[in-house]
Amino acid sequence: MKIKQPRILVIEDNKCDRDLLLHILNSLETECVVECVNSGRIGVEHLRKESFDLVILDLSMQKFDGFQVLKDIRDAKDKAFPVLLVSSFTNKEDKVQGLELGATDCINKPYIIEEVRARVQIQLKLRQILKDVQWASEKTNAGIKMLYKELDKKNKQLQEFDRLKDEFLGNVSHELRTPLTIIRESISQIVDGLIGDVPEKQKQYLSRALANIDRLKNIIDNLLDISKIEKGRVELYKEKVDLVALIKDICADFQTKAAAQNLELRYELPEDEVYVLIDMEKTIQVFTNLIGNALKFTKKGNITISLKEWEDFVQCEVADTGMGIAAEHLPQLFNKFKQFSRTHSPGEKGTGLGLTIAKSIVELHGGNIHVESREGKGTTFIFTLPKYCQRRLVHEENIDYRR
Amino acid sequence: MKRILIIDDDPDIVELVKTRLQQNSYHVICAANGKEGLKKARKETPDLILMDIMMPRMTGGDAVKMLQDYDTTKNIPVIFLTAVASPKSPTGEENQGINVGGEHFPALGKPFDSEDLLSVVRRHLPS
Ligand SMILES: Nc1ncnc2c1ncn2[C@@H]1O[C@H](COP(=O)(O)OP(=O)(O)O)[C@@H](O)[C@H]1O
Ligand SMILES: [Mg+2]
Repeated sequence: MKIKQPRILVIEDNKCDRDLLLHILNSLETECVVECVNSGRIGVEHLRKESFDLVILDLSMQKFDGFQVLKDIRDAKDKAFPVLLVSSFTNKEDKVQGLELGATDCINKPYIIEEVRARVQIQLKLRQILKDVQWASEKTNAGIKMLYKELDKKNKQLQEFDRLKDEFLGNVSHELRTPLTIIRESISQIVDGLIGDVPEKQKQYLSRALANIDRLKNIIDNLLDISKIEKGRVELYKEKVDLVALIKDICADFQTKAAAQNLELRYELPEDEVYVLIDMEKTIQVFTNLIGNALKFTKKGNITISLKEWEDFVQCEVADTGMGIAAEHLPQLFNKFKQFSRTHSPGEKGTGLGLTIAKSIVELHGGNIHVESREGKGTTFIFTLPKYCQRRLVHEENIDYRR
Repeated sequence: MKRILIIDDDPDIVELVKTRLQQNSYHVICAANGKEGLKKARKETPDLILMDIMMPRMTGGDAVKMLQDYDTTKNIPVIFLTAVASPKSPTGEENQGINVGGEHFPALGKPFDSEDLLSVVRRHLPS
């Protein structure tokens, strides 16, 4: 910010010196407002009330101790203004003492006009620079403060939206489920012949409706799952589980379905138990989603679930000999609502959320998941889960003990 | 004939569940809210109660607590029908259930498959 007209205060009791100074100051490049006082006391009073951009102080006034005046001046509110000491400086130590007491510069009397002009001009320039810096920093500070406030406000709004979205999702899912129940059961009772005989063709149509109602229900369930996972509101109930036995159980559940599609569902598992530390319910969901996909996207061949043991973790694979996934789709595969191949039976259309959920669950366990696939050849999903090991638990206890 | 009491504030659901259960040779008693349900439970002492959770005025949870206050009703098995969520179990039908006052109750998520409804009912009916 430009100082409009620099204000200069001259404290000088000698009229000749004062007039000369006034003359020099009036001939400066910068137009200034100059105020002159002939007493130290009045000068100090002025400085208490008003602010100046430069003070020129005569060190050797008759009635005032120049050094005392200098001290009093430096007690003023705005300490940043420069003070030029003027004196004949017969005593050489005076300059040093003056500078030590806070004077900015000294000018010898008798005046050399060019020197006075130059030194005053320098002080005014420095003052301008200082003001600029101050102003800029104030502006920045104010800007930062405003930005911060704005951010804070936006953040609160976002949190509120988020909460509303959650609440909305919860309500919607509740409100959707009741009519869905009625629609589903009504159709189901017609299909089951509770209301009278139904021709085969109509049954077919109604079954298609039923399959899509179940799909809708899955979408609602998955959306709630995802929203919980994204909010970090999912807690794992980890327990020691024999993964070999669990995989056998899960496969048993899918055998009928695989057989109906003429697919072989098999496993390659270690002979002994393999203990993992997992949330069983959620891990089952991972296998269910992956095996479900494999069944959906495989026309002939087989699906193989295998398990390998490493030192701290296990590696599970769900491999199929199905249609595979195009390389360009792989990077987005785990994203929400991504579906790259439509299957034709209505009950199997899916939601595009299965892989997103599987990935989140694996990662919640500290594991990772990836896919290897070749179009027309098949797809393999590979993921890791933490092994249950005595050593890890002991280690954790040690840390707790020390705390 | 086993007797089942269905309590739900949605008359369509009551009607449909009733038809389905009758078809499978159960005697069905209906109630449209918690209060009516409690009254009928005390009067008729059914073999099993199917109950909605989110009902106006008296929730399923409250109703269960009041059932437990009576000697004649406290041993009747209760299955909740819930639209709040339908977490799946690997086997599909019955979900993780619901806790009321420290006690665990089986629950069936809406919308449900009639096969699942019948199998949960069968499983929890006293023989
Ligand atoms: N085993 C697989 N073989 C081929 N494509 C697959 C396989 N698994 C997943 N995909 C592709 O990834 C998409 C997303 O899968 P997913 O998230 O489980 O959703 P959904 O199964 O509901 O479509 C599928 O629609 C399909 O295009
Ligand atoms: Mg899927």
